[in-house]
Amino acid sequence: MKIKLAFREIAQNRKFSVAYILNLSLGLFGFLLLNSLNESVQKNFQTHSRSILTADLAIACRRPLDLQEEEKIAPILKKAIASTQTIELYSMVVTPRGSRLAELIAIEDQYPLYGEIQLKKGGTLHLNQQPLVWISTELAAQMNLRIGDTLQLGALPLRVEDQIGQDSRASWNGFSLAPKLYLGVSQLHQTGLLRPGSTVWYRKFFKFSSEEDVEKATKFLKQKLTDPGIQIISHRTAGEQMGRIFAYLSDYLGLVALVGLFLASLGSSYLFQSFLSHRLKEIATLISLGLPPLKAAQIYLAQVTILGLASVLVAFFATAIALPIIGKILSFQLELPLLSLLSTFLVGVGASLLISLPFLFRIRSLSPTILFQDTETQIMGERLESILSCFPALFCFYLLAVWQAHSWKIGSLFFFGLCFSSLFLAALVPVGLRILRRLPLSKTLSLKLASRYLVQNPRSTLALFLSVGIGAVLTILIPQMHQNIKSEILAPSGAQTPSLFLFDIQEDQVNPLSEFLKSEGASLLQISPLVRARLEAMNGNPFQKKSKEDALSTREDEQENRMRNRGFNLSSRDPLSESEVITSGKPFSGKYLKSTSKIPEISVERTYAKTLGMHLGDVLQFDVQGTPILGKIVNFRKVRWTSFQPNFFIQFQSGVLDDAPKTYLATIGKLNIPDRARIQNKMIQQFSNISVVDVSSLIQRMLELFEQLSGALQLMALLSVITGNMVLFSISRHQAQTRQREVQLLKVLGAKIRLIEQTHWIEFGGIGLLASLFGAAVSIAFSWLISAFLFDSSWSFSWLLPVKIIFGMTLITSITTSWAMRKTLNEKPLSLLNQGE
Amino acid sequence: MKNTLIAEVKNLSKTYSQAGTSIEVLKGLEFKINAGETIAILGQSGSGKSTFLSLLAGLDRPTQGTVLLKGQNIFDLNEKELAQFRAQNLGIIFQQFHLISYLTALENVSLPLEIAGISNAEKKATQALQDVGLDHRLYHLPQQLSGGEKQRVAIARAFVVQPKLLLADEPSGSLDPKTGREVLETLFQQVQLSQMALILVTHNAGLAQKCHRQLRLKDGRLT
Repeated sequence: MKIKLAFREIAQNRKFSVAYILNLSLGLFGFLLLNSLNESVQKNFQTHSRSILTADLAIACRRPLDLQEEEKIAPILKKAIASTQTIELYSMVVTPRGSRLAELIAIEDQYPLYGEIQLKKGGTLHLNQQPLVWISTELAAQMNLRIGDTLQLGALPLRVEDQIGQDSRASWNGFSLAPKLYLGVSQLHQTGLLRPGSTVWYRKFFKFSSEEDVEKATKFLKQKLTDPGIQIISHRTAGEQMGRIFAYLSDYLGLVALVGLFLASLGSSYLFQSFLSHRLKEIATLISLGLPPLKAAQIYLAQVTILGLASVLVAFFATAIALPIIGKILSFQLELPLLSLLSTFLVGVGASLLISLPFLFRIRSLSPTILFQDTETQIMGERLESILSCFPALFCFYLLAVWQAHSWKIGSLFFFGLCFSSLFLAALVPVGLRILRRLPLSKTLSLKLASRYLVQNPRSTLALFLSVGIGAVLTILIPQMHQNIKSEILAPSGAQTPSLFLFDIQEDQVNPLSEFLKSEGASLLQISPLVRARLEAMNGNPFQKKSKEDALSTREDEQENRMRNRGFNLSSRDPLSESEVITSGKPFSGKYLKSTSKIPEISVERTYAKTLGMHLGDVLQFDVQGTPILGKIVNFRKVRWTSFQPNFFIQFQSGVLDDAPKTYLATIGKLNIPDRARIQNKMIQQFSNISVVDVSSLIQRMLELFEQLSGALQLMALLSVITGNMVLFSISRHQAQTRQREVQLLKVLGAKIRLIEQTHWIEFGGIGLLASLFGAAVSIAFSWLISAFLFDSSWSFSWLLPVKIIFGMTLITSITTSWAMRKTLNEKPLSLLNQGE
Repeated sequence: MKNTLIAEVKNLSKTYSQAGTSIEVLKGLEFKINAGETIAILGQSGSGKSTFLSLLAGLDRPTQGTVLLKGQNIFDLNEKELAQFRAQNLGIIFQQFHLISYLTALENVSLPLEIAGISNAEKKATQALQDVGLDHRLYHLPQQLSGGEKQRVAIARAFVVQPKLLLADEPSGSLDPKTGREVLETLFQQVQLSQMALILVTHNAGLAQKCHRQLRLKDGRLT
């Protein structure tokens, strides 16, 4: 009977039902679309994981494995049916027209073990003994290289054999410093680029028969090779890592989609509350006839469950239509995964039930005495009871935010940020209405009517104000953050961006290089030694390499895992560079004197220290090519990484690393474009092993990537704003229905349509303007907080963007609400008299 | 009673189409009303009383015929002119009071004055509320008033613009007999004082007897 009555309620209140479903389904659409997108991408990466790694298992290290290590891994590797290796490094490619940094991948015959490297001319890459290279189309375009041209790598001239058409490995890779170039391992050795301390990756790739357990082999190798600098990676992990790049973006997109869901829930909640307020007397009648209140509440519980289900279904269909279109745009096969469908089902029905809970509680205590009252009874109960009954919904939303962000920190920040924004905006409404009540607005009739309506209907004013305000927070926050990060990359505070960044400078090259640059009118800056080491112990306890990757649950765990499982680059510097500042502890005491028995001082980057649980006074023990070196943490530093200066997580006081084998990093300050090209080309001719990064083109590439990420976020924000507008439309449409009598009355009293329209424009335009204005203020405050505390970056503000958005949102609010009201305005006021008939 | 003609209805007809069938609700109605005159329109439910009122108020258009108010055929006016004409010359009292819920009693009464652009609206509205005995309820919202008080506010709102013609649709229909009597007393008192014409729609024969003339609406015709 309950279900039957629930269906009857839905059928008889079609307008409410449709508005409710549209509202909630729009919020669920963004949620489902994003989760489907994410899962499809992850699944795709998993399917192609062997091609991504080009093997079943790979070992990567900044040095060749030593004999002992080779012996340790031999039992497993004997089981491999095929193996190969690569040596990878960044180096300068020189042609008569200029020089450029490229990612050199020196391969052996069988590479790749999975996937393939297709060539432009057709066929796949096959090595022979001749000095040949295969270059990416990007490098060919940048250096105007054609097939048959000759280029120089170190001491060796090589001929361009072909361009790479499709590279199964490259196409899965994310951001790379430079375009790729393939050559044979034996040719690389002839270039003379491999020098001690050079930034090189030695990778070994293995293929196993299908019966072999790759994950078991990976686990075995991880136990045997304990150096954090050695990476052992299975194809499954490689797929996950590639997926993670998208997953990080997806985390934030998910949170933006949650704002849409929040607004949709707000709208649906308002609609349900208004609907139930109109049904209260009927419910009271049923109760007076003997129906227990709980059973009465169950009818409406069934109704919202059905409406929630219908919203999920609408979202399913909308996503099923949108996914192939998006897939076509992204050239990616997208599907509706079962898990996404299931989670959306739970979220949709759950949201529907939770938002109705506060009102259904009220039915439980509804007394039929309201039937004797003349006025309409509101569904909202006592203030405390209302607030308490919202908690289950809020708690579930919090869990959803953490789940979506894969981070307690980001999820909590988002949830409390949204709660704070909502509470702040909600608190403004009664204050604003109190002021409005006192304002002498009686001189202009439209102004008076608009203000009176707002004051006397605080709930609808609140719902409208929140939906516009939250929309404004989001709409301004994303471009504001975009601008902050962009300006941080383009013009970081505290340091001047260099033109060229140099690495792999040999110790004996530092002085000749300085002299050379001096003769060219430039100077070598920020010369920093780089010593490869491994962290062996912290306060005497062996440093644990984390290997439980399967147990990782949050992004914070992943970050700690990455930081822990890496080789260490040590440096020494005194004083600090302009891109870093001590945040706690004391500066170095000066140059280290070997004659003293004191432990050398070290400085650690503060986020790194926090992640690994380091404290001031901790003693770290490093192994530098077999020699143990101790260091005591005397300070933590804040580093501005976007300065493009040589910076390090761990720095010793000067004098400690003097005898260690090392290379140098350095920068060259601001140069104009012709000077930059000229100096770079001449420098590479003399110092062919030094790699040079053109910082401005790197910034450009980073900005392009960032623009794409930011664009995706803004697109999702647009969906949330559309949801916000749908909420606006639903609320104002509902208001139009409830105010039909008043509008007609005004017309009967002789009011012209223009006056009524004017009243609505003032009312909704006013709400739109004030809500977006305060939303903008909240958004700007948030962007400052995020920049200062989360990203640790500088904050820049441009008033033009918020002004544009404030006016845009005011206009959209006015248009949306006017559109919702138009039907009521055009109706003839006959119904006022029909009641007497 | 003055013999100044206020309104004249000539050959007024209204036909509705419903499910492909034409229903002739009003058939060539004719009558006149002078200043200070009160006419009761009697009829059963569904006889077309409300349709007749809505035509008189210019809220709907007839199929045929004219309503001359102060010599002006109201159906010759466009919507904008009609709204203005209504604001200055017509007062309407509804069975369900129809006060604006978010305006106080005083604001509800001053509303038609403000719409018509008449100065000293608040002062005049206060006076009108005093005239109906509600000077102690000026700043109360409709929900804070009793049914009788709401209808008094509605009467004050109808009178405050000093219209030439007052249309009342079952003004005591939603009130208990005692309150209804009190409200009607106020209404007739005000009509007498202001010398305006009143057309009162009712199916209460007793109430109709209080009017100068009684017309019965039956089968679309006035008898």
